[in-house]
Amino acid sequence: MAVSVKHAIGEHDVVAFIETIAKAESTGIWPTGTKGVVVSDFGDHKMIEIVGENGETLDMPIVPVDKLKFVTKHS
Amino acid sequence: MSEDLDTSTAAAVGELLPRGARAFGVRRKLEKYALDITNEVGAPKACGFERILAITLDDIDYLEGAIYTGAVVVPVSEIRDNAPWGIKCTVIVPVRGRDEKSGRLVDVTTAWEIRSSDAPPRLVTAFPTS
Repeated sequence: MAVSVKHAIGEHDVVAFIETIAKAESTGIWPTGTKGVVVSDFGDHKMIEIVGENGETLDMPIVPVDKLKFVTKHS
Repeated sequence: MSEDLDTSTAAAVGELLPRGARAFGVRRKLEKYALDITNEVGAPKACGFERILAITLDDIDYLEGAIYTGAVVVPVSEIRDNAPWGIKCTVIVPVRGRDEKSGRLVDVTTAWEIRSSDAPPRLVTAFPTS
């Protein structure tokens, strides 16, 4: 029987949005599947940094944890 | 009114980071994220630090020191409300490159969260300006 392992999401983990998320720094939305890194942990909410191709910050929305999918662990 | 009221609690653009001398979180942020080329999202930051400033994880002590110094000598350039979790302040820290990049002085954008009126700033992210 397959065993599902649910990872707790911590700071510096890579995550993906499981639904659209409103941009914090401008109007518009981040599409489902957008990847980011947890840069601050508020418990049931996480601040997610979306990074550009040169490492610059594109946005840092604060997102409920139930709208995030764990991708890779770095915490 | 309390005589212990800290009049430096409010952040302001053009003023130093409140409680900058107590800033924390820089080393872990650099080690686990901004200088970590294995982090698929953070890798462009690590590549940027290496390409622009010749700074890699081997230089973490140097970059950590430069950022902590910036936290106490460079004024805040931007403040964002982070309610109900406090505020986020941007401080642009000039950092000199290493080795072949030692002739370059490049702005490194640092973002700090301050969760309450008496909390020290904690580093959220950092990246060099190309």
